Amino acid sequence: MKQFLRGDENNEKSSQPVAIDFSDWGYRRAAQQNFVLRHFSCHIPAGQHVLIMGASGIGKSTIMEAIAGLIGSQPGTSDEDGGTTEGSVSVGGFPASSRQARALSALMLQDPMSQAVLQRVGDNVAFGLENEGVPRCQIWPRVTHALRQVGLGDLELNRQTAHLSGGQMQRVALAGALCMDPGVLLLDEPTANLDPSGARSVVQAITDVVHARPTTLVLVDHRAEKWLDVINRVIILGAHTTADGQKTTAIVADGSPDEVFTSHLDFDALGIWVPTRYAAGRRQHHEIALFRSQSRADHPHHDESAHPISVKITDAAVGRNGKPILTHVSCAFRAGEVSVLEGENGVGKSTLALTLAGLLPVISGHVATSPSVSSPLTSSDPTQWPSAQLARRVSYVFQSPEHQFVTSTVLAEAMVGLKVAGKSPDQAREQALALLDDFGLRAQADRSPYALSGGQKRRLTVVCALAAAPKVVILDEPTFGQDRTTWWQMTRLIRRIARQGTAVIVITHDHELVEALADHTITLGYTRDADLVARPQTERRERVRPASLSPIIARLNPASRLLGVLLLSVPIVLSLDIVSASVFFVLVAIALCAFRLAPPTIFRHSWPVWVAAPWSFLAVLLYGKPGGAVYWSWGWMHVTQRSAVLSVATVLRLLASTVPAVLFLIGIDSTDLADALTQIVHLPDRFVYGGLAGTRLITVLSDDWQALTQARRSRGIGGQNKLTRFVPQAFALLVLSIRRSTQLATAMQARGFGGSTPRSHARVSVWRVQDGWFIVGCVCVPVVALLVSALTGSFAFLGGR
Amino acid sequence: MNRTDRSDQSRSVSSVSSRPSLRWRVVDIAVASVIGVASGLIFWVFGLIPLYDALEALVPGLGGLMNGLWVFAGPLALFIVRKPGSGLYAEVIACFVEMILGSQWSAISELIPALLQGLAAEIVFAIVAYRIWTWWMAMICGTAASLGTWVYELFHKFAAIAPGGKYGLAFVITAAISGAVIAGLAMWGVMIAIAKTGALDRFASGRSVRFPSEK
Repeated sequence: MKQFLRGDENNEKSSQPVAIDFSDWGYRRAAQQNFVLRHFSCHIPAGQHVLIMGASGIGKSTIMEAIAGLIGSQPGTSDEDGGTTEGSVSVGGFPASSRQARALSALMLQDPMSQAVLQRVGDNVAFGLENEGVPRCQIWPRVTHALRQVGLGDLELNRQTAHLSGGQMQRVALAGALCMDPGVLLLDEPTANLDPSGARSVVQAITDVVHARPTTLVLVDHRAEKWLDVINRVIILGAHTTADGQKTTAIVADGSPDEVFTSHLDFDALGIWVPTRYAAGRRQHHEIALFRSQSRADHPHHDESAHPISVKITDAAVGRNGKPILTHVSCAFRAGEVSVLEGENGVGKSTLALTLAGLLPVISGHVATSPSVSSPLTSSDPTQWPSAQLARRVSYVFQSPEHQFVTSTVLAEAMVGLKVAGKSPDQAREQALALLDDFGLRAQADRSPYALSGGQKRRLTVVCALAAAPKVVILDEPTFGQDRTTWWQMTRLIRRIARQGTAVIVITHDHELVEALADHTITLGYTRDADLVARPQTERRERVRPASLSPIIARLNPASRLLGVLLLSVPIVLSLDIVSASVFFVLVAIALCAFRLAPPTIFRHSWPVWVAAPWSFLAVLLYGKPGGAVYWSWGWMHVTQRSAVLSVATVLRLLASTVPAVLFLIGIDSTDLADALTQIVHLPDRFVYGGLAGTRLITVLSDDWQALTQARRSRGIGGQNKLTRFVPQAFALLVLSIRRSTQLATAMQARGFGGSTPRSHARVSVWRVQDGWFIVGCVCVPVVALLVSALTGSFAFLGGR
Repeated sequence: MNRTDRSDQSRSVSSVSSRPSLRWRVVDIAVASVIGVASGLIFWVFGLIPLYDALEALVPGLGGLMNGLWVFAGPLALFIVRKPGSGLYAEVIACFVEMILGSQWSAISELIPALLQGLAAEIVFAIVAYRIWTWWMAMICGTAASLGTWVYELFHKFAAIAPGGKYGLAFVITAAISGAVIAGLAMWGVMIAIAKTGALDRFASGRSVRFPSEK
């Protein structure tokens, strides 16, 4: 009844746009000295579409989190994270952190990976509605409607999110936000992690949505260009020093796009790109062309002899795990040139680059470096080189900086490459400090590399790659998520590396970067020839996995399968004797046959149990409770009549309780299990779905592990003995996974998870009559075994004294 | 209804006094579960080591000595998250992860030891009301978690092998040492190392390492 009323409330909740009000607001993170923002006042009327811009690290995301009610509390008290709030933020007249205000706003984040909470597309969109307690009958119509709105109407609801492209995933996240009928839509750099076609599809979906329905929209992006059809107000944030010397953020411009972009602000200093239509007459307009012609003039492109080939790939097939993605690849990369690899996501750019970097073997064909790169090594194939030799010759800067950090301070990070290049610790330290100085990172030398801002991290990874003075440098998306200032730093840096005679290979989608730098462009694309290129990820068809090997068990509720297995294996521990163990074993064997599990299936899935069982047998035989005749003894070992009988009983009992555990549980879908645990067992939703979201990271983490392995080899610290490599890498994975899970928590909270509203459930977990019978059966098997042993007088509590 | 009232109350109380907030935030759940996931992956990898079972079964004390490696999930989650139940939760998640990966060692039979290990670790901090967070508490916690395995084995392995015999005593003594060193002290070190990267700034544990002067 209560549930029903809640639903009605939600129904009435208007999707009218609401206003946002910052009044003298400030926020300071726990244990930080400075406020991120302070004395910040701003009014956004209902229905306005606002773009917030400013250099990275200026506090744009903090503003978004505050509107969404994820941070902040009443002034004077600290919030859940220990942060301090001043002033107030209100959404639709309610304090932003209140339940009412949080129900009015929906926040979408930049990383598509961290926003996919559940495995299936439909479940992901429904997640927010469940958190708001929307009744089931309304959930699915709203989910399909929202997916249609973002142009994904023909996507199957049970598609795995892991099989979607970045653009599709981001649109699924948008659908998740839209189906909440928010009064305020908050989009934090929604296209930052996407390739151009993915970004276009997301911009299109957002444009359609805001034109179709009135909503207050707050957007954060470094580039205004693509949003000009959507926005009617631009707010620009800049650094500001208060009278008492505290650094904080202030609004430096606020108005319509026309007003703001035609004003005389120093956009270059603010790190902001002026849209093309406003750039005429500004320095930015011709800046890239100018940079290009200047660097051409400084270093005229002579004959080819000035740029000898550093590395070339000949008639190769490249791919991962022996599966080719690109075939018949032939190209060469020259010293002193910047070569750009272009192409859609998933086409194989990174795979090709990793192959060139000696981190993936070619499937067929050759990769060869010139003698000037490889000497004095005899092999010209970089995959053959030891890690330290590789780092001194070919360096790879990965897209994600976190994968590459191997030490605990910025200085130590920069020293890794120098030490690999054979410098003494003192020399390495001196040169590392000089390098850091050069790239504006000197002040951060003692900080943890993970604690840097996004732009700083990326620069540090480049510094690290350069430290070992490699002959070939490969950069994967070096300008992702950079503001205008850091973009230029990176672009100049790449030009400089090339001018020093290094062969530079850049993977990028950034047209401006290509325009500024490319001496040579290689575009990868799909062709119709099936021989050349693998099918795009997005065309894969979903295969429904059976829920169990047994058709009977497949129809059972996951909770009853779990409970049944526990009930089967727990009571039997009361007695360890040969009679109960034998009866137990026979009954379980009959049950497995009754569930139509054939012996070959049983052995194929439970073989490790059968391999392990003999060792338990031997342990009990040698060390078991002694009694009766002594057959053999040596040191601590005594084989007696009693220990022999106990060892047989132990093995029978072990097999009979673990083999069905494997076979009854194999194939359970984790989402179905979570549904059953909340609806049937009534475990708390927050913990069950929190855990489920955590387990989804398993696939992400195994990809991370692979990336870590490659990054470490590329930095010159891979390939020593396995154990010394394993421990630090496992630690790096742990740190990375904790970072990923904190992002995941933000994404889940942004969808209303963890609030005090009772959740509803989009999927039904049904307990049927057969589930009851299954449980009864699982209880009966050990009970019968124990009764038989009691009646025959062989019952021995815990194996007897 | 009742639940909301109570939680709001506990929040306001905790911010007035300097007592640690024992209420779980979403980020606590997410991090505890990911520690469980990572540990589950590691347990799963250990499960693949060839001949380990043979050695563990036949060499007295070896099983105990290695036991710390199987019980660290709970203590590590407790040291980082510091909420009641975090140790238990991480152990259970680790167990489910093994199940999802299709653990050969039929992870569900490990659900009960996981519960016992988690509970044992939990009790240590529950006794001090989740207020004392030091390396020696960590060692006690690790020992307790490891002895959780022993309690479980009393009903299994030590039904057949006398728990008070040489093999049994060798197990319990080595298990206690291994728990104290691997699941306790080493995991405390891991927590400090993670905190130094800044990844735990949203946690009291991380802030106590990075900004020790703050309270």
